Amino acid sequence: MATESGSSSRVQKTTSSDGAVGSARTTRTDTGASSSGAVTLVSMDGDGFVVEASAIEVSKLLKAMVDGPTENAAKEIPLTNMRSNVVAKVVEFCQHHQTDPMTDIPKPVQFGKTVGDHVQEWYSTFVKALKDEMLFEMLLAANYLDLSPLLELCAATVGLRAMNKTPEEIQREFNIKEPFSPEVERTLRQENKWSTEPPIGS
Amino acid sequence: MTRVVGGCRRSVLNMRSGTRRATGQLAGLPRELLARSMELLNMVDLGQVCCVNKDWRNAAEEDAVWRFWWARRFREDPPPQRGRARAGHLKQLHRYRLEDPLVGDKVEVSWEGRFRLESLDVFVGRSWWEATVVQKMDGFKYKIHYPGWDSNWDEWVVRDRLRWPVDPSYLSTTFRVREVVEVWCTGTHVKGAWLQARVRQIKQDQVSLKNVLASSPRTVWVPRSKVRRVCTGASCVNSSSRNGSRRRGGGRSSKLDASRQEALARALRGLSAGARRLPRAGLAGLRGAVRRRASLSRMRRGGGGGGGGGIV
Repeated sequence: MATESGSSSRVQKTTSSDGAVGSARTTRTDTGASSSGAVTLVSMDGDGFVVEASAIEVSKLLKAMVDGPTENAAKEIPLTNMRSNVVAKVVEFCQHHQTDPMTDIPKPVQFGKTVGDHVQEWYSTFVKALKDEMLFEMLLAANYLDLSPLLELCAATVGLRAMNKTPEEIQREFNIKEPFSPEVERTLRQENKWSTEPPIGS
Repeated sequence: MTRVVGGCRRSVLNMRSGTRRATGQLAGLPRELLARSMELLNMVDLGQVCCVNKDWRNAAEEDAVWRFWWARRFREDPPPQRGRARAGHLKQLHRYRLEDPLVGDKVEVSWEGRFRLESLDVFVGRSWWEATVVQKMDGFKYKIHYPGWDSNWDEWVVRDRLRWPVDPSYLSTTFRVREVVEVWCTGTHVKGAWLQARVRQIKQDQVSLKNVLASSPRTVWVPRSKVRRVCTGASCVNSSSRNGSRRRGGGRSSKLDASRQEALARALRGLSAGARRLPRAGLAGLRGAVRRRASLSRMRRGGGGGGGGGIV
């Protein structure tokens, strides 16, 4: 019964009534979802998340599935590779994105800037609340669903954690095992010197 | 509804690449996603990320990452295509391209010493002048032309005196006292240069810079908006250790090292001659004329006006 752990999305809060312990499927209805254009996303745990079809259009994969010629009447989209809390977060993101689309994160990001400097506050708090493991799964989910704003947001968050750091600091930050042997690392640093001296030379 | 945490995580991974180990750790992201995360890093960071471990190096050397940088810097010439590109190919090409500028490239040339624009103030220090490569010679020698300046200022320089214009992503508007920043010096009719200087004091939107002028008071106050800091990343912390070896062709050693820079500046301050871009009348007549309470802003307006001292 670890499904509910670590997820505090708006979707789930609005459905506090679903306490059906042991039931194979609990369908969570969001307040905003009308019955007409509603789609149910089913997670690997069997939980259903009802969302407005227009909200998930930001994901190219889901849009293609919703718009597909062979529309299934139930409008159920099985996402067998995502846990419930991941789907909940994705839904939360999509719903917010519908009302307040995320601003683009510039590439490359300036030294010392953070994700919060570029996106709206909602998005920065959204991504800050994600633990490492969750961020990891969100990245995979966003990539799978072809959900570019979410992918951009998560990728930027990961990337910026490596910014302005030495290799050792990055290894510590990401808890990286299997680093290069010292000799290899020395050679690599020598090789990459040209890119670490931007003002002169490169 | 019970499930095995490890099992489900593996299945999430399987949808992308079945062979990856299911660590669930950010560091173990599939390569294309890791590369995607690195796309917004600049080259300094990419150089650091390469040394982290094998997976990270592979991701950081993906052509997708470097295609962005190529397009950003060398917009005009598309990267040369190869039939079968090996890993890190575009990165390698990028490096060669940066190390050896082509004719027509816009670069910046360093000048260590005194110079003067339209006003009577004589600047001193290391400055970077916008220039275009017009001719090349073997041994990393380049003939450069300064846009906006007469062609008799054209000169042959070695590679070590060139740098690429600083990418905006390296710039920071925050700086502290004692840090080295660059201040834009310019004239009304001629293009100016970025002059390196050390911050002495900061007061709201005004910054005091040390040893910018050749005569006392050497310190000037300039608006904060005209000052920028070039970030060299975490790597510059131990820059002294990186001073040993030079890239090929370079005859002189790098002047990145702050202590060396200072020593040079100190040496130069002692010199009275050796001014560049000074009117043929020479320094002697000028020195007395340099106004005492000079400020860069006034200088920018061109204290000397159009006839400012016969530059160009």
